[in-house]
Amino acid sequence: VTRHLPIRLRLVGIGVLTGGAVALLICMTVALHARSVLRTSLVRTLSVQASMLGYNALSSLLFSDPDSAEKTLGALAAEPQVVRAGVYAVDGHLFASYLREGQTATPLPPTLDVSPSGSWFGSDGLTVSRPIVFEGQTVGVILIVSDLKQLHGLLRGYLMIMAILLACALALSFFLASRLERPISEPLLELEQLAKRVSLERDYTVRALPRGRDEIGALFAAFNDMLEQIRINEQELRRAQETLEQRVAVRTAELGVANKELEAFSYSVSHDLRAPLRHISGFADMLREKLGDATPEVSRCLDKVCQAAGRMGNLIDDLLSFSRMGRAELRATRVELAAMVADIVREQSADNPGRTIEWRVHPLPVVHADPALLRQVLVNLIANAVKYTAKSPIAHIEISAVQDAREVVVSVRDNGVGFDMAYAHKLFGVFQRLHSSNEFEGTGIGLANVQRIASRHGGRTWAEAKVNQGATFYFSLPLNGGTVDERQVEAHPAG
Amino acid sequence: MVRPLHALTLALVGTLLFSGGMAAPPAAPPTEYEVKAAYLYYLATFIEWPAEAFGDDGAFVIGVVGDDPFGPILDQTLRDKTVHGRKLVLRRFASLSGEPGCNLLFIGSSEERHLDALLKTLQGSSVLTVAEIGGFTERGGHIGLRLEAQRVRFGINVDAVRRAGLRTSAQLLKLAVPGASASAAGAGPS
Repeated sequence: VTRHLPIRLRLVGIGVLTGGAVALLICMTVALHARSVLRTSLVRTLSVQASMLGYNALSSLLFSDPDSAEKTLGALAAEPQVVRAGVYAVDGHLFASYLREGQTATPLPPTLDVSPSGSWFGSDGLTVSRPIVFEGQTVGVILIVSDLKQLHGLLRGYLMIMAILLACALALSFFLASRLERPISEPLLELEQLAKRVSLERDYTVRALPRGRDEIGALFAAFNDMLEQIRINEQELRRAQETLEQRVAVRTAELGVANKELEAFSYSVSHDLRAPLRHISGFADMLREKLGDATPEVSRCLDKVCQAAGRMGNLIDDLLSFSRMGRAELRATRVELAAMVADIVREQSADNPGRTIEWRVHPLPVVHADPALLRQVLVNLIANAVKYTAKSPIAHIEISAVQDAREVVVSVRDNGVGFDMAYAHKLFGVFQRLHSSNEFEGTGIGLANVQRIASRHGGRTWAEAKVNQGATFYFSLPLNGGTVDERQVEAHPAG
Repeated sequence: MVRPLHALTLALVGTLLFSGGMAAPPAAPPTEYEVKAAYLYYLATFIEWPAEAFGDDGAFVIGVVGDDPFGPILDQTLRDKTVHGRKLVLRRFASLSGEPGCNLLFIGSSEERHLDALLKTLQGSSVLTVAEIGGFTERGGHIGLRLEAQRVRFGINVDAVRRAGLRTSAQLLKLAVPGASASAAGAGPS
């Protein structure tokens, strides 16, 4: 229970309790001692009186004169605490007696067993008996009974004084404890305040004032050391963070510049490449018209030139579109995937009249994306599937979508040549090709575009395949309206 | 001669003198002379004698002159007793001529006739005189025994005792029947 009390209260409590307990112990000891001393003194006083009276009553007893014995006992009237007294003859009969004035209750017994001499405290007070001796022989007994009113009065006085002393001791204990606890509690409270301030304000420059060499002083020193350590650590951390941020900013800027240069370079290269290509293609056409059907050999060569020029034009177009991709703005809207896919499937079927393709298009959801870009992705993936199933007698292409709480995952599965999963990480890079262009024609830019578009929509791309057992390409679109995280935009710096 | 005495006195004296122990019941009630014999002894203990009053043997001598009313009782009472640490010796005289050589002298009633001459003889000596003769103290005797209301009492001629060089204890004086007139009651046996 005491653990919840403030430390000052507990320290004062300890002081007061200790002081009070000691004072109480002393008071009780003194009270018991005083009681014993008072009793002993009363016994002694009464014994002396009994002895004196017994001596004075001896002749009365010997000469059988109870009247004179009673006169002797009458001297006890000067002693108000004596209630009654009596002289008993040796055979135990009451010889003479004294009763205090007004004392009627409990008279002396008419006979007495004279053997027990001494003193005893009974219900009616202290009784003292002394033998009366003549020539070495006991000839009678004197008995004096005193009440304890005086004794109790004195004891009451003592107890009163002790109660006052106890109260004083408690007050003094409280006063001293509340003064003396300060050197202990104040530093602790100060430390508590400091610790609170440090944890609330995160100000590690505050310091506790140095104290003496005791444990509290050591605690303060340790606290200060701890703070200093924290301050240094924090400073280092901040410095490291600052340098890191600076470094990141510098790198980002460098990267941006490099990226821009690269894009500008590839754009201008693509653009500048078009001009000579147009000339090659134009003049090759002219040559074919002029030479007509001179020789089949010339015609075949010129066809090759024109085809090569056309392929190079496609390549340049792809490169241009890829480099523009970074700059183009996303115009997201509702897109009915099913309609778009059906359209593409129709196109592909028309473009490949000699092929046998079994299409399986599963129900597809409505998504939120840039329709032109999304179409580019789907065209790429579906055209790829058509392309790499060219060697299969019957191509199976399956398009499906799975939707969960966060995203829609669209997959395009084929039964084509597939690829080795060991090279899966190269799939989506620019100009990365897993098959030679002799085997399957292509620019090596398509999948790079797919990945770029998906990531601009906040999605991902991946693929699963086995060599000669087909491949499955996936891309995901997040469901949060297709909005793109700024950081993801930054990752693909635009002009 | 022997009369029943106060029950308490009988009990006390009887217990003290004959059984010699505490709280033992008396064999028989004591007679008047048994009580008086005890009183002689008690009187001796409450009075102080000058040192020169004792003889060479240092014994305390109780003398009886004239008729002896005690008989063997006195011998029995005083047997093996001491007074002031002195051995008790009992002497009997038929008559006295000159110093009797005793400390306490019980004068028998037979000596009443020449009491004055007897007391005159003892003048100047430290001999305590005790008698049960009526008017004994008025006639110059020291202590007169008498019976009062079945109880043995005594009167003291304080001046005469002091003249004899003896010191009487206050304890004894407070018990003495006051005044010489009391002896006129003459309750003593005749």
